[in-house]
Amino acid sequence: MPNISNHEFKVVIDGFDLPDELASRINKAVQRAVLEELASADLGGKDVVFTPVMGQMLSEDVAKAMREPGGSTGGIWIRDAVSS
Amino acid sequence: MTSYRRIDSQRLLCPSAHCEDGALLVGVIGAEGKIAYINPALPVDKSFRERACTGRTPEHRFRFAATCQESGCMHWTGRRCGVIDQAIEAAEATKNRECVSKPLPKCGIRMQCRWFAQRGSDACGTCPFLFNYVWPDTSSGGQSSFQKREVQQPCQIYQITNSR
Repeated sequence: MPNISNHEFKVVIDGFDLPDELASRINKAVQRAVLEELASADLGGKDVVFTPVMGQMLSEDVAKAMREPGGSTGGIWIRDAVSS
Repeated sequence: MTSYRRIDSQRLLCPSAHCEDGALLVGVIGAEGKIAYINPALPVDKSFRERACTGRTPEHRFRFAATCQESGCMHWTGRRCGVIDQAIEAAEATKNRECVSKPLPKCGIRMQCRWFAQRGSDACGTCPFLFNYVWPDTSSGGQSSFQKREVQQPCQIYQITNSR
């Protein structure tokens, strides 16, 4: 079993009750702070790294493009199907 | 029956959406291309998007969820999303044992997830190995782009997708 890190960010205020609305605001503020810091996170360094599953999907995509010109999805991604 | 499906499917989320306002940040892509999930999923706002777009393509660093577009998406096969079916097939082809590992990831959107609705826990086993990727240079037919590991592209590339 791999050792998986688990990060939990929380602030404990013990000994008195906070109004629900204030507790909710603080909770949202903490989550917003996490979101803001994560925005600049890049755990993969400079490269795009494909797992074997992604690699298989992308190679199938290439094979499809070679079999049927224009048949590739252009990658594994979500794009609108609205025609021009 | 039809109306039930419509109501239900309106709530389903695509777990591989673009970085845009109103999307949910569901995970961060780790160094080996595997997703680490964020629970609860956090709503993306303008500030996050602007900051995320200053680095590598956000979709190569994070996973986002947004409402499934169904027939508005080219991966919609008429009744279902083709991406997760393709991914599970790919996982089976690679005999990737990690894809069937338990427990399931601590995902923040499971009960609203299109992929989970379609394929159940098989989807959750495969999901951590996928991210939103587009060939950097479609004029090359894809192959050379696939071999090129470093990809630099502006976020705006995802906004030209209304035309095929």
